[in-house]
Amino acid sequence: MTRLRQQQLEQRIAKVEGAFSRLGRVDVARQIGSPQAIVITVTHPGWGAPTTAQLSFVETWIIEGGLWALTRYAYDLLLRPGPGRLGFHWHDGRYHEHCVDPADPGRDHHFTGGPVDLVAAFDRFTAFVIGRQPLT
Amino acid sequence: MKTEQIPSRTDFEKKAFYTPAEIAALLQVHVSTVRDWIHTQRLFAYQLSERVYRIPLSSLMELLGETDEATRRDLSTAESDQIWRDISAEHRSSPAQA
Repeated sequence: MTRLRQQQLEQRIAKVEGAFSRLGRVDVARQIGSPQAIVITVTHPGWGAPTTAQLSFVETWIIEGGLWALTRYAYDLLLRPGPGRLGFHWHDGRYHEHCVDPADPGRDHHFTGGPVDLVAAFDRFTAFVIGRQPLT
Repeated sequence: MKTEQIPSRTDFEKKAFYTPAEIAALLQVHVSTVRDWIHTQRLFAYQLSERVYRIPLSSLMELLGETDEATRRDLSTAESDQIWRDISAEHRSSPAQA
């Protein structure tokens, strides 16, 4: 489980704000206190490119023994206009992944997954958005 | 030391990504100058392969001094609870296939 000091948590958010702004407009919403939900949204506007997208990173942290502990997350890439989705989630005690294939949008494929770091998720999403990899 | 003058015009065609050649044409500099900016990290670019780069619009805007700050706001407990309820709820309507 990820555990951070207060300063490390602040540095983490500042770091991802900077990195994520490469891809589009970044909005950060934070709950005050513990538990603390942090919602980071990146809107990739496309500007004529075939892929516009919304990236959503939701985490909840709690204070335990003076350190912030990550207790759940939901990282999602949603193609706009959809359908199309890739998601890495950890909540309700399970790690799992979501995938909606634009060519077969009727199903949200839902698989068991493993732990995924927020920055690693962003890198995976970026690869899709800039066209290095197909979504499926 | 010689420094390049970067035009401040921002009324160009907006695209998600630009090639170094497009940036060079836009800013009226040589493409090797754009590559220098990339290699010296003055201009951020995604490296797709050894010699292929794509520059996101946000990097170009940053180079031109036109940056968009992230917006920040407080999230209420009710909003947070609703977000997680929504995330959890989709699992009750889509069974796991693992």
